[in-house]
Amino acid sequence: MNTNEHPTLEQLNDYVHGELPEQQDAAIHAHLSGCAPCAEAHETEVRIGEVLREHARAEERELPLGFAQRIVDAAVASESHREPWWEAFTRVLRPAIAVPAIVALALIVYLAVAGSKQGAAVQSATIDAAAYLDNHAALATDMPFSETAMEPTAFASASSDGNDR
Amino acid sequence: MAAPRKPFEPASPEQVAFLETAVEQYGKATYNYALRLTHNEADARDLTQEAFIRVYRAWRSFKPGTSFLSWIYRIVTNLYRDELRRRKGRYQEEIPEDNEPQAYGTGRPLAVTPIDEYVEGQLSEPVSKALEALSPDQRQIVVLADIEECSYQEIAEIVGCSIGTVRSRLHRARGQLKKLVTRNMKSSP
Repeated sequence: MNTNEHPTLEQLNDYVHGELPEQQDAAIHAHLSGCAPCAEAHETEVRIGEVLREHARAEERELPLGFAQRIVDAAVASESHREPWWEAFTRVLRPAIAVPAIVALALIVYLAVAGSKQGAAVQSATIDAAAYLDNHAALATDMPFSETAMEPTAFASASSDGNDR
Repeated sequence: MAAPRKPFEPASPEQVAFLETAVEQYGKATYNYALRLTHNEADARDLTQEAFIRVYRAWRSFKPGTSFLSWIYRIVTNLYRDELRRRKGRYQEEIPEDNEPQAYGTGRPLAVTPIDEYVEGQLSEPVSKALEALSPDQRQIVVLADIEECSYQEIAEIVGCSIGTVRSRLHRARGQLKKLVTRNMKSSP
C-alpha cells in the first residue's frame, strides 16, 4: 500500500499490535500523520488496548493465601496416586479381552449345538434308492413322452408282449 | 536428554523444585489469566491448580529457553475449553462470519466511540461487562493480544489456530467489544 491509501480497520488493528510487515507499517505510519480520520481511528484502537490493560491492572489479584503451597501439595499427591501405565493398560484391556472371549465361547457352543442338530436333519433327509425310483416313475406318468422318463412297469410289460408278437 | 522417570518412582527434589519455582514466578499471572477467562474465582483456582499439576507431570518436556508462560497459557486454554465442552456438552467453536477486512477510510467522518469519551476511573465496569459478554474464543484472543500483549504467533500457538484466524478473530472481537461497551454505556445510569 502507498501512503495515500487509507488503511482498513483490520490493517490498523494489526498496526496497533505491531504485526504488519515493515514496509506496510511505515506506509501506515506516514499516512496517519496526514489523515485526520485515520489518525482518529488509530487513536481509538490504541485506546481500546489501553483501557483493557488498565482494567486488567485494576482487577489483578494476588494468589489466594496458601494457594501456591496447595498447588504443590496437590501436584505431588496426584503423582503418587497415579496408576502405572501398564495397570491402566490392562484395566482397559480387561473388558477388551473378556468380551470377545465370551462372544467367541458362546459362538463355539452355539455352532456345536446347531451343527449336531443339522447333522441329524441331514441324515433324516437322505433319500433311499427305492423311494427315488418310485417318485421318478410317478413323474414319468405325468410326462410320459419325456426322453428321460423311465418307462413305467405296466408299459414295459405291454411293449415286451408286443415285441414278442 | 534425561531419561523419563519410572512409574512409582518417588518425585525427585528437582521436579518439586521446578514446580515450586514455576508457581512462584508464574502462579499469579496464570491465576489472573484464568480469572480473565472464567470471571469466576473458584473456576480460576481449579484451572490454575490443574494447569500446574500438568506442568509438574510433564516437567521434563519443558525446553529451557522457550516461553514457560506460553506453555502454561496453552495448558490453561485447553483445560478451559475442556471444561466448557463438559459444561455445555459441546464447545461452540467460533466460525468466522466474514474474513474480509472492513474498509472505513473513505473520507466519511468517524463517530467518536464511547471508549474515547471515557474518563479514567469510570472504565472498569462497562469494560469488564463487555469482556465478559464476549464469546469464549473472542475473550481469549482479546485477553492474550491486548492484556497479555502476546504476538499473533504466540497466540496462534497458545490457542492452536493459524495466525490468519488470530487476526480475523481479534479484529471481530474488538469490533464486538466496542459495540458492547457502547451498549453498556447507554444502559448504565
